[in-house]
Amino acid sequence: MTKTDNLSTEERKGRKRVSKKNKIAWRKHCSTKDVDLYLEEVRHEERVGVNFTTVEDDKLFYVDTSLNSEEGVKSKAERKLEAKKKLKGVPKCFEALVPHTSVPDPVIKRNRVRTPEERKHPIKKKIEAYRKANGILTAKERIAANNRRIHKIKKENTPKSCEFTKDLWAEAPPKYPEVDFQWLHPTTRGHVLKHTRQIEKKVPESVINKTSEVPAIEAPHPGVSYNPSYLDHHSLLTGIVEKENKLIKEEKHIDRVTTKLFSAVTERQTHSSWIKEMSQGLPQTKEGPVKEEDDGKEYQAVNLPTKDKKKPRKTRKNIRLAKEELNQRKLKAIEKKKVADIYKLKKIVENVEKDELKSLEKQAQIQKKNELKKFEPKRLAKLKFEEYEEEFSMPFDLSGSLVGLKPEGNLLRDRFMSMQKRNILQPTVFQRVRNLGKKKAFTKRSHKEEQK
Amino acid sequence: MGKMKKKYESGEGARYITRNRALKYLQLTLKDFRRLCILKGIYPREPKNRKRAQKGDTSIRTLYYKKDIQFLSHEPNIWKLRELKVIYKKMCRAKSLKEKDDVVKYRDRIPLLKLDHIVKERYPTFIDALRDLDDCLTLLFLFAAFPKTGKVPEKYVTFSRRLTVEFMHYVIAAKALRKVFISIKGYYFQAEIKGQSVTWIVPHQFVIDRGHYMDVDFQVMLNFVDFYQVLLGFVNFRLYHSLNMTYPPTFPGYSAVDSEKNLVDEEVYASERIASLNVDLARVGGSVGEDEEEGIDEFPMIEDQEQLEELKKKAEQVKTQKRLFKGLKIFINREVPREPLVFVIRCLGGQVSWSKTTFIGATFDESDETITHQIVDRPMVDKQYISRYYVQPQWVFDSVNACELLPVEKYFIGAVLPPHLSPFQSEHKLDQYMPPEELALQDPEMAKQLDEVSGDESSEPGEDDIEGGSCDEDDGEVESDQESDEKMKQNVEDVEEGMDELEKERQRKKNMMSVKAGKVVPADPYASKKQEREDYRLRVTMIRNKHRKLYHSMVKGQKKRKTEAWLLRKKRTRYEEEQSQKRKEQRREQILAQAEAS
Repeated sequence: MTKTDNLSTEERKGRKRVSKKNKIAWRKHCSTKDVDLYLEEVRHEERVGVNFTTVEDDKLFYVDTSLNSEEGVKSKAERKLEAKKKLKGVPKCFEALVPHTSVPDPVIKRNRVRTPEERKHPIKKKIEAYRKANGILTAKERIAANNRRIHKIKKENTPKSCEFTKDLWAEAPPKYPEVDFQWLHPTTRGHVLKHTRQIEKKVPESVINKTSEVPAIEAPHPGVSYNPSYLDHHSLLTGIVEKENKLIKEEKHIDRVTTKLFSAVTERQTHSSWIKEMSQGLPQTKEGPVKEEDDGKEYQAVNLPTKDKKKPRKTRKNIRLAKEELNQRKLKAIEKKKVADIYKLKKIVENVEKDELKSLEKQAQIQKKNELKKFEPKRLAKLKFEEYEEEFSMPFDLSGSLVGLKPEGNLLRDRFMSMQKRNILQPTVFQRVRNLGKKKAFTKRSHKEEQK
Repeated sequence: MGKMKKKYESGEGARYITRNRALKYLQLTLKDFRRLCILKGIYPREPKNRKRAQKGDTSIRTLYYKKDIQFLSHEPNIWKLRELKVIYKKMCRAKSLKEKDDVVKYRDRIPLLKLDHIVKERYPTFIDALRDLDDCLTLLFLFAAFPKTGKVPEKYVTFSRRLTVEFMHYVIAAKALRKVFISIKGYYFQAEIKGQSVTWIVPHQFVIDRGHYMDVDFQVMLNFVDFYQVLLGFVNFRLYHSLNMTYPPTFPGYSAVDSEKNLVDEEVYASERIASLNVDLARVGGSVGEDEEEGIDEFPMIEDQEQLEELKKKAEQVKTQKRLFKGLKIFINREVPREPLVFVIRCLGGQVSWSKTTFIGATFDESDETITHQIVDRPMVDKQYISRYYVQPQWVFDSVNACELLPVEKYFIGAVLPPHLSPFQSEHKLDQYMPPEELALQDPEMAKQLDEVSGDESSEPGEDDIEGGSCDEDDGEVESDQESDEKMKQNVEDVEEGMDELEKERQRKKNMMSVKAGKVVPADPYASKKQEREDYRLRVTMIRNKHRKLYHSMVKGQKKRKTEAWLLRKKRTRYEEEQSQKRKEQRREQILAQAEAS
């Protein structure tokens, strides 16, 4: 359609009159737009209904007089009835099955399809009725009944949450009757115990032992009281200030050691240095043409090839002999020292004692360190545990009464961090948004063509 | 030559396993693995030598004990987790296809993880479970305070609430509460259950907001809650049965079947009344005698008399604490946080009530004339009864910590309250200087003295309550008995110088023959102490070289702290003296002024 339209307009611009001699020429040069439009309209009306613009107002609207009359006020029962009527219409779930066009069904007469029950053979019907009357089940029904029974038992036995009906720490009765193993082979005994599930896996000690000496709930600083004494509150605040100062100092140090080490470089400078770096080794233009380095010498590689020069036999022998002599001299000296050391025994003993003392001291230090380490968080993951800020209240927040109390801190985070401190959880970065991976965008092939 | 030994097949290299390898070994996803580890109590470990433990790799990885992971693989719940993975996948698909029926179907199939055996595994005895209850209680009390709408599934909140209320009921019935502390974070409670002190924190009302969920990995905390709920359930069961109470708790006079009223939800009816904490729970076989009098047995094992005395004193204190509020009828005003106060008062045997409109379970009205105390936290009250004291809530908490009913005057309406001090003393503080106010908190006698001092201003303060300097006392000032005997003998000889020798001889012999009345040799009061000190010195010399330095540094620290404390005490006495002097002068001036005026 559009193609012909375009053509015809072009033609019109070019030529005013065209020959419509043949059927082809007639078709080519005659616009059928109006006819098509009309036909489409008719089809649309068939499907959807009549166009509102063509219908008279009286047929579309009516004057509502019901409100004025007494009949308009409906009783509750009436309203209910109406609602029911509305319900009786096609339910929403079946709306898709209702034809959406007003075009009548082309098949005028449809036969009713009989249900499977109606289609059943009368003899089979009779047999089934007999079976039902006498309680005879088919294999399928039997299996289904059995399955139902099993399911019911299973459902009854599944544990329900929120129910505690036994003393867990009371001695449990044995699951299976005790077997007299007196006459059985040890392997048999093991087998029986294992397969009657009487042997339970031994719990490793690491599960029962605590991971840290830090208590779950540390004693609160008296300064965090809602109505603290002046001294306590002051000591709490000074502690916090000290910590903060330490942090600030460290930050400053890092700043000084890293960023402040380097002076700021302007854009121009960076550009020039970049140019300089990039043109390294290139012939320089400003200083005139670079001369070819020709000193008249022969070409020499930077790393000269190595040569396998072997020393003559005689030199090698001499070297070996010299080495042997040296070794012997050393051995002799050691022997000599051994004899001389007998007279130095006192000194040696002293030295040994000194060393021992030193090592003892070191051991004591290590022990002390280890004792302290028990209270320190361990390194469990890449991230290091960081102490969190303690809660405190500013002096102006202290009202001195329970009503005016201003709560501080986040107990959930407090628990979370305490667990990290006690080596129960590993410190992690909490991801607020889940990483869904990189998305790669591309256009479908069909869309690509249209773009062309 | 034997087979060559491969590296890392024994020793530290074989003892550890990285997390990734563990995942592969157990065929679980990371999420499931984390969950299982939390439930089973298996935590990452730090090796002594990381390079060896990681088989040559020096980067920092999360390591577990290999034995632990092998133990995990025997857990029956692991199969359920694998099942769950499949079900979640199907459910996710059904959800995205908007097949609601299927979603429901799969949701019904989600298996419940049975955790009873894990609780038993991790806590082989009941005492073990009690020892580790702090974490559990704090977390559950926190979850019970969460809003039901929000990120926390509702069942977590209601179940946590139920369990914590049950626990509080036990503490009330057993009168086990020992210490309370109101901090800005929440209420610290400490109870003594079966000889174990259990501490927990209860958050303040209405503090939980969105920020609470933001900073932590919430799923991890939910896993902990899953386990702790089961733990506390079983602990409650056992605790209730130890007091002959029925579990789940009911209260006498209520039975779901008999109630003729057509209640919408009978369970809610019962649980609300129980949550009010103001009903005694039903017991099996009648109520147990309320006060079980238990004297301390005379243990021959404890030789140290002082220690025994101390124990007895403590026991006495606990006894008085248990019935501190007995016979008191306390009414709580509506602006005061109800639950912690009711809990504390009921723990110590008091009767409580509140306005009927604030919460269910009020037993008497504000107009009741028998009320002894009313707890008020506002500057003024319109209608006041003469028959009762109007006190601020801190009075209750301070009384619990002091183990006696504190004088009410300091806590009247509108009074500026004395500081609320922490009863949780850390050990390192023992050596330090403590102001008399804080000392008074621990020692009731001190409190009396302090009161006297503050009450009677004219008396010299600080004379009686301040001990002498704690610097070393002089030793060996005492004259020994032998010396004095010799002196006496000499005197006798001097008198009889002029006598004849014979006479002397006779006298001497007579003296020798005579029988003197026995004298009671006065026991040297310092002898035992001296002996002790010497023993101590001997022990000090016997310290092994290994610990000598540590010991000396300890002693040095002690001395330093002592002198510091002494200095502060001295400062305080001087200050108080100055103050009293000032006061005296002021009074004198006043009197003079009055005299002049008259």
